[in-house]
Amino acid sequence: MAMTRLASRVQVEGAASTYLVDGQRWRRGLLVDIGSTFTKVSVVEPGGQIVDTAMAPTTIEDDVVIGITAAVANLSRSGKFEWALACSSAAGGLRMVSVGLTEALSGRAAALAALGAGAKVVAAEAGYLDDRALQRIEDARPHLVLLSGGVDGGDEAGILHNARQLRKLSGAPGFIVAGNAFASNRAAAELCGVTSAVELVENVFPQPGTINLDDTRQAVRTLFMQHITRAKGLDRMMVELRTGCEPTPLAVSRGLPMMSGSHSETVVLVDLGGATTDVHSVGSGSTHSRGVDLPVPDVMRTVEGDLGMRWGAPGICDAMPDGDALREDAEMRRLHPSFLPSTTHDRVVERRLAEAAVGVALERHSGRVVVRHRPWGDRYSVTGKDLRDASLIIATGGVFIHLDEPTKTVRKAVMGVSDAFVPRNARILIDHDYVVYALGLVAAHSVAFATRMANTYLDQAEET
Amino acid sequence: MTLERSNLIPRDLPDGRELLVAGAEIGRQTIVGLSLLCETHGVRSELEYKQKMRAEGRLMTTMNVGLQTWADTARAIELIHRETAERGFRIDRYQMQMDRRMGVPPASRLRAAKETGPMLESADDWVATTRTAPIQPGLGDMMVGSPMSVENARSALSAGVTYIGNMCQFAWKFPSWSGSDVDQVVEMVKALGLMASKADDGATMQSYLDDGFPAQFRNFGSYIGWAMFERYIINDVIGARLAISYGGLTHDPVMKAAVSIALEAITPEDTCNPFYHCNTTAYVVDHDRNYGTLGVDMLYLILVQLHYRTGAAVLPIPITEATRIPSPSEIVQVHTITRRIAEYAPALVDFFDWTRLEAIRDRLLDDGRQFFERLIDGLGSMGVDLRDPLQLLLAVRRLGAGQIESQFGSAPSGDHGDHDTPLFPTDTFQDFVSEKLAVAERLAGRTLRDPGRHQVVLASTDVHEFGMLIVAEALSALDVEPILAGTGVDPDELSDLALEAGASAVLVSTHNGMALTYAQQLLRELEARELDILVLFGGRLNQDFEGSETPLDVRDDLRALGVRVCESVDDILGALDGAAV
Repeated sequence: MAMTRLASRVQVEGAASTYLVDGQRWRRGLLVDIGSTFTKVSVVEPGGQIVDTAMAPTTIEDDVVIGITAAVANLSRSGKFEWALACSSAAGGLRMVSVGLTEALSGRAAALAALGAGAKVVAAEAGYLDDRALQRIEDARPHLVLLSGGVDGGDEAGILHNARQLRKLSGAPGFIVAGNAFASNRAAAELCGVTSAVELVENVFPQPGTINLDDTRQAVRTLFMQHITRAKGLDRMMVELRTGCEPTPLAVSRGLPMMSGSHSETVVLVDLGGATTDVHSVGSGSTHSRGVDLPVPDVMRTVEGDLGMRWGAPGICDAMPDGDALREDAEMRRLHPSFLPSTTHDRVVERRLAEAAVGVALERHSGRVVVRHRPWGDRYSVTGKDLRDASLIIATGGVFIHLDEPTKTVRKAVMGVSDAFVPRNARILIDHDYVVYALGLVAAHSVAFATRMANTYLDQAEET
Repeated sequence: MTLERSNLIPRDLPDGRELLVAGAEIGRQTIVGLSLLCETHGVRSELEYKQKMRAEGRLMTTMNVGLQTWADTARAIELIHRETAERGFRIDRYQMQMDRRMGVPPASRLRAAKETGPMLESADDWVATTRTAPIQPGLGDMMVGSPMSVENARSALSAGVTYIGNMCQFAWKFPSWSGSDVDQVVEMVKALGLMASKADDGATMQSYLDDGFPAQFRNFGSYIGWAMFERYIINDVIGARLAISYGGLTHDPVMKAAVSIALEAITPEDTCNPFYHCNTTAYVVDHDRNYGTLGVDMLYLILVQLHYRTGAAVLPIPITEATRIPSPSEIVQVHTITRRIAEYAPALVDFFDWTRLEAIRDRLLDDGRQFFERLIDGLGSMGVDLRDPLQLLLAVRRLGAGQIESQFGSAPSGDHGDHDTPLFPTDTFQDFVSEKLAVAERLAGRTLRDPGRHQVVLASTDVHEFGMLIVAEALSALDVEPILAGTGVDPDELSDLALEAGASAVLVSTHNGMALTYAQQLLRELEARELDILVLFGGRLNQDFEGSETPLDVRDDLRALGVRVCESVDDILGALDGAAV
């Protein structure tokens, strides 16, 4: 029933007009983001304008297509779509485990790669995996394990040992092997014996002072589409819409550079959700002077699992210097995640929680001074991403739709951070239309068309 | 979980502005004395003297002097004054080269070893610095910036010394003093309050750039930017007066002249800088060569003074300086040479193309301004109160020179082999490049038995990197491409990198009295990673021990631990080839 209704609205039928970009004819299309709570749909015109958006509750427990159909029905204008693209963070999102040889280098690079690919890093292991480490991985129930270790031409024993150990995992998750190029093929061969979901990609830590995440992102996208969507009940939607599906944060990471005017400006996105707060940034990968430091990636994502507007509200109080005053309200939000503010008091609390969450999440994402206490004295160093010259902050999440002055809240949050390299004079945009994920979905097929969409959006967008 | 605050500034730090007020209160109880030189010339302070001499067109000179005791030093000053008078000229001022113990409280002095230079131990000694001869003392070392900042500044002012330094020494560590960096900078800020309160009496804070962070910078633009930063703190934040000097580490006369006039361009009208220092790094044991170095250096410095009339003195250094502490007669000799050069210089001033020099100056100023703005901006972003001198000084001290330049300095202008070339490379950097090339040339044709089997990771435990880079060049010349871990590397970091790299050897360069502690921890970290690889140490292999006045040689201790001690590049190559060292 639901499929029939969806098909009548979505299936490829005669186009009203077309637009030729990058050698491709772009007609009217539908973009779908299946979130854990809501499914959002956006309509893209051939010229690149997002002309309509709507949402409906996500129905992944039952049949995800029901929610999509309902969202489409909520669009203000009906019509036919010539193409569709989709992403999802529903059903707990993509769960990954990162494995490296050392925690600070290949281990950290692998974790950053997994985060950058849109995953939730449910466990991060480093060193020679023993049975206890395997048990922790097993308990984390990952969809994918990212295995790294050794610079190219460096250590081989570690990654080979770990590959042999990972063979013992029951349930056989997918594997991405991204370690020493001289040993990765042998490590991958070990794993091919237990699952067909193995991707061999370039080393995430190919040499000291270098981090390489692009190849891993692509592999995650491939494995997600080929092996994970079925487990999440997304496969029927893919057939219905004749589309692939990728993790939403991965689409956001790809879409964010499109918002960077000349593609050289630093842009930051804060996605304030009910359970977590994601911060994505593009540009300003930090300079580093030492081979023992892992550079900060140009496109970076951090996830604050303790900061959210509903389930994560108590965590915001913990992070606030005066959070106890809001603890009762935060607890109520945790217990009633569908709560909507209605009174003046509710809105004040909502604003204060949002301001604190944005400030803390940006502070943790940005560069800062760190101190290492050593027998020969304290060592101070500046590490992390310098976002001071960011030209744009994009804030997204349901809370910003309900706040009276969302831009002011974000600005106040940024100005409240006094000891990290957070943006100072950035323009602030509230992404009411969820345009960034949309750009990312399109950019996977045509960067030119995504750029056109971004330019159209930015021309129209005003600071609200 | 709580919101993280900056690691750079402790929460319980006193307010720097209140420290300035406390210093000013001490100033109210301090009367600035009158030196013999000022008395002779009818002025109240060295600043007034400089302004008067500048107006008269006098080329001023200054000397470095400091023998084992103050009594010896006073006799030398008298002798020099007498002999120069006999030769028909006089020296305007002197820089006292004092024992570092002057910078610590008397109780700490008892525990510290005697170093080169005199101590001022009584009120009479202090007064004698200004009354022994009509030569004005500039007390540049171990005064403001040291743990004894307040006491020394008060004693110096009372004696009639009005140029007091050394701003750049706030980042120094002083012997046998157990206080923290906060304690040291607190004392300095109080002293700066005292200096500010006496600015109308001519009290002038003195800085010698080559004694501080700038000596570690690779780019002259960073020198200028740092000078702007010091000016910001002293002039803008504190409201005191700052005079800046420079020169000992630079032997390129053109660049030195350009840097000098850039420093003058950022000097307020009511301030005269103390001096421009003769180069010392190009001095060698062959004294005949040093005459050439001296002659060129002095000519350029004098030409700058004649053309721009800055009020700064020139400081010639005896040609024997590389081999011994110069005698009084050698100081007289070098000043005699300088005065002879000064007689010819006026005829050359008009033949000099100053516009070319000024073009370099302007580019230096642009680069320096950017450094300064980025530094201020960065400190603000780190949560540093930009109007609090204590926070400013502590923050930059903790960041250190290398980090400050890499974070806030201008982008390199190009690539020079395996490292970037700064926009205006300092002589120190250029000397390092020359040394690297020399090593490569010296090793040309030599081979290791099996270069392919070596995977070497190189690290420096502290800020010193040139030694590490020269070794890297040597290894490259022998077809071993080392992995550079960088500077300020800790044992856990080095071990991690060695593991990832599949290293066969780690080579550690260390200079700061930590060789043994570092080696012990490194061996533990390597063992924890089950890495049984060659460990080589080079540099200054000593260790600070509790109760010991100076760091002790620990080469035998290192050998006992199984560390290969390398005293030359040849030792390193020998160790790699499997030979015993």
